[in-house]
Amino acid sequence: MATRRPEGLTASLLIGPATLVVMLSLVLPLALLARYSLNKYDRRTFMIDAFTPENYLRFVTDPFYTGVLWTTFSIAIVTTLLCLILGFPIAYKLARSQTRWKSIGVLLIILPLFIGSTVRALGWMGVLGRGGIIDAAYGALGGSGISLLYTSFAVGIGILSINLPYMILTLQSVIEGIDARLEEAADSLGADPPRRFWHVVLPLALPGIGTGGILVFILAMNAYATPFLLGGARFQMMAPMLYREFAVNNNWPFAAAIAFILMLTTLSLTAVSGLLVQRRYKAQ
Amino acid sequence: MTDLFTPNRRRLLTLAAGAAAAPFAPAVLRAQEPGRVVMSTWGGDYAKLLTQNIEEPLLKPKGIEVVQDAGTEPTRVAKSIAQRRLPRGSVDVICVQAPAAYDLEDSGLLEPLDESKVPNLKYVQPTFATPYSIPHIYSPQVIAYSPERVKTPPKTFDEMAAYGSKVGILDNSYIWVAMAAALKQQGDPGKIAEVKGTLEKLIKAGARAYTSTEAFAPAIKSGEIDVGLVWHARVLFWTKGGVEMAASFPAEGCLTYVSSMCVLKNAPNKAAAFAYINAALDPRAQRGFADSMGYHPTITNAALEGDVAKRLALPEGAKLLPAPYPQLSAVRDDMNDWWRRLLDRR
Repeated sequence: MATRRPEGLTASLLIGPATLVVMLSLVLPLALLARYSLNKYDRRTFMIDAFTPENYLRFVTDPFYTGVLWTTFSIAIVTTLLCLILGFPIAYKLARSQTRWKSIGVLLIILPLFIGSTVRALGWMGVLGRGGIIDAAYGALGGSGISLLYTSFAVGIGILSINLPYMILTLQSVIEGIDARLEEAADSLGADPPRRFWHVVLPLALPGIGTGGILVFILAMNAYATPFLLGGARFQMMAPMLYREFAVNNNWPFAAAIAFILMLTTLSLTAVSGLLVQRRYKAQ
Repeated sequence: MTDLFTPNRRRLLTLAAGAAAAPFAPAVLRAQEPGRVVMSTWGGDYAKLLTQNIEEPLLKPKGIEVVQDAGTEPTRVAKSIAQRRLPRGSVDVICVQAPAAYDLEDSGLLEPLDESKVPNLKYVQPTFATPYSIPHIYSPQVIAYSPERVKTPPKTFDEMAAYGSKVGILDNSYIWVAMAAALKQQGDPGKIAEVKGTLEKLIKAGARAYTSTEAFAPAIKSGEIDVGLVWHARVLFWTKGGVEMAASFPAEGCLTYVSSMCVLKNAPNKAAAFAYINAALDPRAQRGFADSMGYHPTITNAALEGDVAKRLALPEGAKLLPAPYPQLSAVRDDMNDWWRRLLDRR
């Protein structure tokens, strides 16, 4: 017994390397970024060492920037809800399917993930743009040209198409874990399908809905290529704005502040929704 | 021992050859800056053409090995500024647009240049010469239009702006549109902030702004826009690619895009850096860039011939102007902020 290694030590040894990697590759750069966000921008010297909250104040006091944050949030919420509404039936069907078509269905869901988001955004440009598929079809029906590109609709549909597979796959795995006999039991007790869904399937799938929702919400909040390409110059979201401040204007302190504001907003919203789901789940 | 002092025909010839080469010794030494030069440049076609036209044919024979540090301009500029206090930086030559070269000089980062360091400087066209950088290539800003839909090509900025919702603006060079407006309306391209009203009118009229340069050609092709200010080289490139597009040179003058090369003060291998930018001003290299990219040579001794000469020909009396770099630098940050707010449609 005396030679047995204490459990705590084994655990520390096992998680040690991973913790070290995370510390080095995530926490340190973030700490550095946090430091930068308190500096001052100067065109000639690039960054002046300071300890000022002015970059954060500039963001929160200017309706232009808070407006961009609000647009980003609205797009993220709308696409997350749409992902949920459109994804749930597909995920349910896939999870309950026992035929050989199931694997083909899963493959079809995964397939778009093989293509980068930039390439898919370019594809949408071909569909939505002037002279694109929708425009041509509309013209053939007697319309006088329609361009849906560079609108919030284009950005929404672009993000939706990218995020939907994540939602479906998350939901599918959770629904598969729900015992089908529970639904049969509900049936046998006389519950009609809507009642069965509301009182049996939905509450049990809630953790999956929470996880999937958080996943696609984070992806939408941080979307870069889609709003950049499909939203154009006149549609502003956080990630392209952050990139512009950082890489075009070279204003690293302000870009760092924007990065932290985006990160903190996303994290706190995620935490709040996580708590809500947990509370609801426990209440069941 | 005696052999050493015995003159014979071969020995005499060797001595004579050595004596004859003596006056050229400094040039030979300068031409053989050995080692490595680090070139901070844009990636893609430009980097590839640097290799094809300058590095392989002109520098490799001199024993200069080139390492390219490719990236976007602001990132590379930030890196150079961050390394400013190091006695030896990591970059020798930096390729930037002329306005950024001015900023680097303004920040005190650039090595002064003269003909003793870069002999080919004597051939540089005076319009583009600066004491801190070499103009590598240039392209005038022209009014691109669809010859199919625009029957009378616009000859001035105002004639172009009259197209309202059919005007296309490249978001990343909107400030060049502002300078073109200032040139026409204020008679001075440096009065950039004074033409905010003109740009506002243009945007309110529904002019399109494109985040990527590549979006301009499809927009002309599909009829989304009819006109817009772009670099002449771009028009040549898109025309070559089969897009129906023509260029009109504004009567008030063309602002000119200049791609510069500069040597940093803390360059680890200055001799090789000078050799690099000297080679960039070599007629062979300049013709190579004109042929493949449609950018004009910046030197007086690289006359173009044949098809390239015809494609790149400037109309009689075309006025070329470098951008007013100090004024541009002074207002740029404020203008960028103003432009973003103007574009925002909420």
